[in-house]
Amino acid sequence: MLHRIYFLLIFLFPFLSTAQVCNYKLFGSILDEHDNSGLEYATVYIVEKQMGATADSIGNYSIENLCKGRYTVIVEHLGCAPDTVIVEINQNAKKNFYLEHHAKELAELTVTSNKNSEENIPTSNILTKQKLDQLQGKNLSEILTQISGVTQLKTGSNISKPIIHGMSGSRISIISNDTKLESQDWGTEHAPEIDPFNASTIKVIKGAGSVEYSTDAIGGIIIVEPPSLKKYKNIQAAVSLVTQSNGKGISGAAKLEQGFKKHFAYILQGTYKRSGDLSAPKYNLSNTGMQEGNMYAAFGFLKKNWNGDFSYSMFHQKIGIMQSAHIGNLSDLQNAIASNTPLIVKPFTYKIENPKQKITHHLAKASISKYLKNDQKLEINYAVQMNNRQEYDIRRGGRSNIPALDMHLFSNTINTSFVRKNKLKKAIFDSKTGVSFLTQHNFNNAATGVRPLIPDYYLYSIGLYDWENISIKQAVIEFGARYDYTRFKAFKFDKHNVLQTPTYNFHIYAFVLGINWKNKKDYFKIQSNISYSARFPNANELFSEGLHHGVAALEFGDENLHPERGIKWITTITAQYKKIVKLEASFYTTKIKDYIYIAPLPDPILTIRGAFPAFKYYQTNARLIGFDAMLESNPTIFLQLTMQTSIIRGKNTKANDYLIYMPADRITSGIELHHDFNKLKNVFVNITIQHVFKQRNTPINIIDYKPTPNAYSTLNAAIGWKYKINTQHNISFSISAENMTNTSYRDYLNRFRYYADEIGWNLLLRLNYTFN
Amino acid sequence: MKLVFSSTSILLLILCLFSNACQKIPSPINEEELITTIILSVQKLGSNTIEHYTFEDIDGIGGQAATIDSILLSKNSMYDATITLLNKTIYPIDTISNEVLEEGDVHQFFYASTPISMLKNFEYQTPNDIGGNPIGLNFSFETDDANTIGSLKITLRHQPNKLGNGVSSGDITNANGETDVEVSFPVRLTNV
Repeated sequence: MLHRIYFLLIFLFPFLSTAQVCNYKLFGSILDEHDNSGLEYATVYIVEKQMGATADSIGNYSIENLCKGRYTVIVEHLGCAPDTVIVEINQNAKKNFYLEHHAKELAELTVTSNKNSEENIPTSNILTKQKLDQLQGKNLSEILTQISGVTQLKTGSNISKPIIHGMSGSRISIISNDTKLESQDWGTEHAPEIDPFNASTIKVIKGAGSVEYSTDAIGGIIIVEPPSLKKYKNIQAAVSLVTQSNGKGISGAAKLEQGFKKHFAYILQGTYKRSGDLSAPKYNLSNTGMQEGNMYAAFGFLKKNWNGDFSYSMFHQKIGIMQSAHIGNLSDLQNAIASNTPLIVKPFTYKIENPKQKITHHLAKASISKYLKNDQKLEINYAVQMNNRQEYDIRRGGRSNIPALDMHLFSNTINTSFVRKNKLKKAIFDSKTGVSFLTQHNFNNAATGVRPLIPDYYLYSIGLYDWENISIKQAVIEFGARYDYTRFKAFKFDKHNVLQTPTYNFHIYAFVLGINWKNKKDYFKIQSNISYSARFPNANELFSEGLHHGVAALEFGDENLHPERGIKWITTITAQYKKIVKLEASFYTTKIKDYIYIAPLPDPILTIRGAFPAFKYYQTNARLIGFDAMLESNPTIFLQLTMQTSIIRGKNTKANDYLIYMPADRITSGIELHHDFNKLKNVFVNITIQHVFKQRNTPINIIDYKPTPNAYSTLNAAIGWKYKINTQHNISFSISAENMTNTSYRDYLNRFRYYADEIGWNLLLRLNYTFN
Repeated sequence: MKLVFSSTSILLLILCLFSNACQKIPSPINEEELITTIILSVQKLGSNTIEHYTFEDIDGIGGQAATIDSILLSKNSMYDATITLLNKTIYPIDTISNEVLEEGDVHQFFYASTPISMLKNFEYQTPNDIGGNPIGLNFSFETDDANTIGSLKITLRHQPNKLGNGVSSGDITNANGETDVEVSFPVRLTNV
């Protein structure tokens, strides 16, 4: 397979070609590797152009109107391993692609939905491996902020949760390795347990609709795809090393993959990360060190029409919580706020003291599929997830080594699906029908000596879905429906230690309808998607009762909450003029009925620790309206200018007030120079400036302890290159500098903005070696 | 045979997971560090009787409201006082003030009177912590010579900066740390 890629690389890239000629044609056949028979209705998809073609009944395809340049081509056929090939176009080119029929890659489970979601998702919502390599060492949420409309909700500097179009937490689903991440997502200080090093691509679906995984993702879905199991005979390996000046951090990762005789393949991967106290421009942020160790192992086999994949991943993290943000009562909070600098500033250390978090997540998965005749596939997969969360506090009586919170979440999922492809005249139907089961047990370690925030519970769920995607010429119509029945039974103790078992039965429906259309020359594209979904209340929204350290507030759940239901409509328009200018703009509106939110009770509550403001979960109706835009310009082949902006307004329509914690408006501009030299490929220099406006649209009826932070700008720059030693060995290197002006600023969506500034300047060095 | 056995056991496990049969009922967790009760015991200089005043929130945060005793003191007198902290949610009742005494180096009480002149000359009494700094379970104070109504605020800080400016003489301003207790008793001074 590889020699063909090398062959294609011989087409040399024309030096500084400024003339944009876009009338080239790529054509040829898609053939079965074994018997050279044409693969009917296989697809060829060009990632950069977001366009593709479907082969005819004997496997011939043709794509026109291509400009000179280098393209990533994905060739797919149901029942085959999809193949990604780099093709250089500088004249009309004939190219045959060979696929191994009934061969298999791990990511192939979503072959159909992959291709279509790639067509249905605007390109700017996909982070490719190349982009991810440039961001190595960052956590998932930080990486996702590259996508416009995605921001992060932070607790200090090490804990961050992604926000898509103003919504986060359980309103977003994270799909990792084709399994919904089942973690303890009850609070802002609970970050997703994902190692981004293990991702080959990360995609964000900003609509509510993916009927495939769950209904509760009203805000959107993040899909993290691990590397696929390749059947290549040769060994592939990658080693990377990242160091960062702020926090004196280091992280290293290594990956090894190998295939045997096209019937067996494995991947082994490990990551280790460590950093000490981070620092703001003017002071050290004491106890903000972190340590992380992750691993991933997978193997897959292929026998006749059967395919089996087995994988295991482990994520373990230890994070220090800034000591000055840990407070006992309202007076402490007022003292902390009155002081412009943190109350506890100690010299730099790698040591992580209390308060701290220790998080472990295990995911083991087995998936078996059978390819049937007529482009059909049956698949069953079973996943076990074990999540453990320990929070250590500063305690009395020598109890500091006993976690104050020690919760386990044990989840089992079974997903079965039937995938098929049909062609009717000029329409191609891709369909997927499935049934899924989930059981979940949440339990608290009784040895903590602290009443648990979330009671023990059992959850059982069954879901049915059907998804159809119809392509007719330049149009794609997508629709899907899902029904979920969930039974939720909690075991909680009242104030007199009497057991109560509140039980809930939720029936939830979700629908999605999408229409995409592009003109023939691919200069204009419109993608419109409307989706309806619902989310039942979380355990914390139902049952929380207690003190929330960090914000010095009492929080009370409401056992009578019912599911919230939302409709989201998002339309994306992409227009481009040759390869010179490209504009992508998305408009969206979300209406949520019975939106669950937290609001203050009229009177503070008196406790032995003093008086606390009290908050309770309520339901209201909400409406969010927003706009994301991206403008990209390539005036010459070595220069790229980009501009991104995102604006969102969230309203509590019942109270006619703004919603709390909506991301502030922001605008990012960048300039990049890049060029390929002889052995140095992709040599680049870039500068990015991000400006975040002050959030002025905050609720009037929710009192904030400190005024919203001011607007700020950050300046980042990077330089890097890739050195090709020979056809097998590659080394890439980059230096990037963040917050170069060492600006002191605070962000509205960081819960620790009451106590300290964001981190100061940071220099990162990244070294990456690959062998294949 | 082995295959049959293993697949049957996997099937049973899955069946169990998806049914009510495997539900485990948890046992209640005792709140070990909870302070439910503060008893302030005062003894007037020259008197033999000790008066006890209680601030109690028996069910912790939320639930029933706290009960607070009003303190009645003689004006123009000197008093010795002792603080006792209890956790009444567990049996036998846990005397939290013993833990505070044991970890005296990371605990300190502070007192404040409103109006400021009603109760004055607060002084820490022994025992002190291992570093010779005050803990404040025992203290003394004097009352004003006017009839006054006001309050006495008692604060317990965990991990205060005991070496902060004024902290060892009872000034809370630079103490920092985390507040474990902050209660206010109503106080009335009388001629009795």
